[in-house]
Amino acid sequence: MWDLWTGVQAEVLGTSEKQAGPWQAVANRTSELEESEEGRHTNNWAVLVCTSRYWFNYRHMANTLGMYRTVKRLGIPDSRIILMLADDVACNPRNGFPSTIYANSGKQLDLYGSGVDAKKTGVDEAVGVEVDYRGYEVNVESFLRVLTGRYPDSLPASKRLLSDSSSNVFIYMAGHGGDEFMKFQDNEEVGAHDIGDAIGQMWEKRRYNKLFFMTDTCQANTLYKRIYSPNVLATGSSELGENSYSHHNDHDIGVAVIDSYTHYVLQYLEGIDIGSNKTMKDFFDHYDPVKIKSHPGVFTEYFPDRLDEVLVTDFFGGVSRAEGVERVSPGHSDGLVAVAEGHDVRSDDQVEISTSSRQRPLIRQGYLLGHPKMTLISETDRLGVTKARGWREWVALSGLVGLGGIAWAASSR
Amino acid sequence: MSGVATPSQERSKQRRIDACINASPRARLWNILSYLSILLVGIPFWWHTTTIERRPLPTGQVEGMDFSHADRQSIPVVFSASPRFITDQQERREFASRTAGACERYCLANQLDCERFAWKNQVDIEAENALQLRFDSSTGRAPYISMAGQHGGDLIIEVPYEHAPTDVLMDGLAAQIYTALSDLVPARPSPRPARAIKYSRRVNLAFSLLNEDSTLGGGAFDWDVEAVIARSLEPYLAPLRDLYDFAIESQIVYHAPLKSAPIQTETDEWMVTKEHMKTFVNNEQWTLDSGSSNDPVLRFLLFIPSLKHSPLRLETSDESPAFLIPQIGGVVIHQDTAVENADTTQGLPTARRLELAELELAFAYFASQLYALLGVPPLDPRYKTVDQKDGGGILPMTQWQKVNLMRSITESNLRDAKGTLISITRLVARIKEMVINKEVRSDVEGAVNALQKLAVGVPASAAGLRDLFVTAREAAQLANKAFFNPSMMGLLYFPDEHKYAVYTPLFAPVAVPVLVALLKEIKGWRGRRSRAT
Repeated sequence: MWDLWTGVQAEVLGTSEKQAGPWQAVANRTSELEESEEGRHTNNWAVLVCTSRYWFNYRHMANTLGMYRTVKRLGIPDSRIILMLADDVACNPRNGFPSTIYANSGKQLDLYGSGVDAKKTGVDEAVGVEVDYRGYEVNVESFLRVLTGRYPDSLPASKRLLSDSSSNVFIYMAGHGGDEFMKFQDNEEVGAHDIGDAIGQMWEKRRYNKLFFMTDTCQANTLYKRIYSPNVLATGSSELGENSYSHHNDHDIGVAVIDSYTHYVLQYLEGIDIGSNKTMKDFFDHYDPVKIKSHPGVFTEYFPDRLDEVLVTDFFGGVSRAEGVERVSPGHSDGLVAVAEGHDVRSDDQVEISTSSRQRPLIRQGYLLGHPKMTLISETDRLGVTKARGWREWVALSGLVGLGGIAWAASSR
Repeated sequence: MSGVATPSQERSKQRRIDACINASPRARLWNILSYLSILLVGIPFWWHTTTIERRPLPTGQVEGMDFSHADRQSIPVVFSASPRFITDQQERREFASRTAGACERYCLANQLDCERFAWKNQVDIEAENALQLRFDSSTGRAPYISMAGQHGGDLIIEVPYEHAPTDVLMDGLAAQIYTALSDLVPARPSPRPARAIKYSRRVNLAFSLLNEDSTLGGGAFDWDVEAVIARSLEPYLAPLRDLYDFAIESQIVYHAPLKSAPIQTETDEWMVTKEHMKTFVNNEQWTLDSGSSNDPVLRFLLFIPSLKHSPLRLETSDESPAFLIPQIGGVVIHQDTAVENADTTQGLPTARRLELAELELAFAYFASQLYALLGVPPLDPRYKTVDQKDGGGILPMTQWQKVNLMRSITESNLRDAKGTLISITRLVARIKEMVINKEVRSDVEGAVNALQKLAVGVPASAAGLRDLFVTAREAAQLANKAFFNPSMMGLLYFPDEHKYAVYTPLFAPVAVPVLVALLKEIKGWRGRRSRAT
């Protein structure tokens, strides 16, 4: 498994080597500024983006909501998830199962959280979905503003990525894309350069401790090619020139319900809970290009740690700490001022505590036992492979027209 | 009019048509030049409208700026002597000024780093943020700071000899003073602890009273929060008022279920384990609210366990009912003896109002959690004594802590401002599409000017530390404002091939006939010239 993508890695390494110089110096300089607890993160953030809209892109919504559900299950609170979703399929007139979104043909698990399962099983699974950017708010500008933190003053705190140098940030994108770009709602594109620059700006302001960038789109591996910032780990669903396919259809819903890559990623993550000691190496090792039908890539050029020392939950889970406080005396009776013997927080009293939510056996069942029919593979992802015509072709074309004109002028006299 | 034209009419018509189609070379030239002139006139407009506004930034000198002397900003240390030690007022003053002089000499003689102390004696005007150093008659104690009493917060140095010490003895005293001062005010300010929030002038404090399940009875539907804040919290906020603007909010929640149930112990108590302490704050189901603002919020939660889970304990080392969540806030479990001892056979206790006395314990915890979250440095335990023999209340915070807090905030603000300005410079150099408008430029200028003021050095004055603090805060604010200016992200990256792809279809169809016509004219003109010669 491992060697399947080392080739990709080497290629990426070659293209970005020339940019490494100054950034290495920056990394060295800043490391001495770091506080004593270097390398540790105290909180997790997730930015989950579905860049598509319209009914036939149902699966992109399902991908993103599946990821949303997983990071929430692993303990990242809604207040630290920025969910960008066109959100136009759950209540789409074409949806035969209104107010639901399913990621598998068995329809066991409603990702839109209407609580249907709860009625059947008696287990309270109604979770709800908190969409932060909806409909046309999901655009390139707002996405890049979320990353860089350059918001208009009036933007409420719930729409802001308020991460800092002690935050691990997970960015997930699903939609249609091509060589070094990703389409936003059939309207505009974000380029690999823009993503690289946005992450570069995040690093400059220490908006992350470690960052994990994951995309499920055609030629997704090209999107991380322009990243040049330290502490970034990236992965994508398919190589340059390769499509990312959907996984299977649901005949009642009538469209593909999930993409292949995300399907297997989610399936793997279902086996993880917050206390899991599975590492990112295990995570990447489970990629199977035969099953996924594309070659996922991993980009570790600027990631300083060994992958077998980084936990999956460092990015997908919410890890936090609670500290004891030294006992203080209550306000005493002579009534002058409240008394504090001290507010020292003992360092030996620090407890590393993980956020974990209640186990959700239902989801696990959904992914492990779900979708008994996996035979239907639809190639609905063709939209994403259009490529801008190269400038050389344009120059050649205009040159030809010009030559023709001159020839005509010369011959007419 | 007849339908048939005469030959002469026919010819003149032919000429007119001829002249129309084959205009004179002059007219044709004007025609072509008019097209070209439109292009030429258009170029400046095109240039102007497609140029990215990038004003130069005055950040050249930032990289080399050194603020290490900011750590040496002198803090007034006021010497005084207790009447118990020297009864005569004149002699007291003399002793204070002699020791101040001795300290100065001692530092010079031993080449010690004493620049951060400005030695003063009591005669000088009471300086703001001054550290008080007081001589007292000997009881055999090492130098200490009392947290209570009339002279609470003063560093007390006990002098074991009487009025006229020799120079040698004075040197010994100066050495003792120097050791104590450098323990209490280290040469380099300590870094901000990881649990503390980043410094922001405005901080919201949100106090929430959470009933786990008030439907079971025994909940609190009201609390005397204003009184307890005024009594238990206000003394802690008062010394910080010139560093922070606090906004205080409160909220009562009737239903705040736990995400994971506590464990029942053998003694019929309920226990929240260490593992569950972080999940304790149930972000999904507790509607923790605060006013709409983008200032950082510190949350303080007073949790009343339901009758079902009462009494509730935390798995803490000292069995305290409180814990702190770094950068977020603090939690206190309400210890309600009334409910714990309630005789449930008599029916459920009714919901009630929490009075001042019941809240004081929780708010004492909140106060210390607040100090931890703001990063107030603790007083060195070697010097701290709580000694109430003089009477009077216990100080929430000493001047020594405040000086250290101001120094560490100033240091982190200076580092932030400088780092941000360097980041802006680097990004602007790297990302050619980045817009730099007037606003960004003026913010950057403001930040650079503020930093320059500090790099040159503010003259040591009574309010020196305060000036430094304010200027550094301003510099950090402006630098961050510039960095996060929404206009800095106006344009996306476009590869050159996209630009060709846009311009070529637009200009090629126009340019080809114009250029071809021009070529034809030149050709015709040369032909006419060669014919003429």
